[in-house]
Amino acid sequence: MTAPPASHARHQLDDVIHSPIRFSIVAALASVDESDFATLRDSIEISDSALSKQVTTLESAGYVKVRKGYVGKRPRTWLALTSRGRTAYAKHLAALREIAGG
Amino acid sequence: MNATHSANSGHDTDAAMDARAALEQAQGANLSSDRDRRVHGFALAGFGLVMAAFLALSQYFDGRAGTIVLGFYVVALFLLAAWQKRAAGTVPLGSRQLGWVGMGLSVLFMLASIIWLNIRQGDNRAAGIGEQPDAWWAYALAAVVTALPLLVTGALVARGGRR
Repeated sequence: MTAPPASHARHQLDDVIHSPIRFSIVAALASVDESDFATLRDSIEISDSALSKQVTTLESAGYVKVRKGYVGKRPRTWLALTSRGRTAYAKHLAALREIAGG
Repeated sequence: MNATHSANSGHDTDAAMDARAALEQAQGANLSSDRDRRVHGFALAGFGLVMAAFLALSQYFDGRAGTIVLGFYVVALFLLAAWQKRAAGTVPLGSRQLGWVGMGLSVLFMLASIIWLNIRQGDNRAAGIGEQPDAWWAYALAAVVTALPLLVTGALVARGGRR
């Protein structure tokens, strides 16, 4: 008994990006060079802790780069998709297009 | 067998609908606002104008006045960068790369303008005219050439969302 060949487009979907919240984060970050944490949080309407958790997952996968800095005396966190993240997102979208068209 | 086939095609239809919904979501995702684009566009144009003003004034004034001009230049650049960082929540797509291209060209043109103005001063000395400020149009031309790349890239960044 052998497994069928993984030719269906769903096998090309990226497991890290596929989760709805992480997909929203990556889609939003793909539209900019960089975003601050608060702008992204407000855009996708989730809590600080939930965003933090998902960003950690994306950062571990090498898809998101986190930069911490200050604006005046206030700490500010900046998030950006890495080139690896952009490539993974493009492949994920291509798989979605194939599934949607099939 | 038919029941299995029917279940599979139902599952595929659901997957296709989910995929279409995700693609629509991806297409609608735009984090950058017109305000952020304007902030980055104005900041780039501002850097160009500050550099142009510094070039013209630093060539015109020397000694103590020249040091004051340099001080104003550094403070103006710092304030502009701080405002840009504070006012914008995002960096619009492609604006960072455009900004570096504009900045690189402006710095290059600034150096070329300084060399050109110094050559003109040297020619004046050789002609026996002595240490006198150059013609106003020479400073104006050098300033315009210096500011132009950053003004253009600033306009491109500010208008980026309306393409």
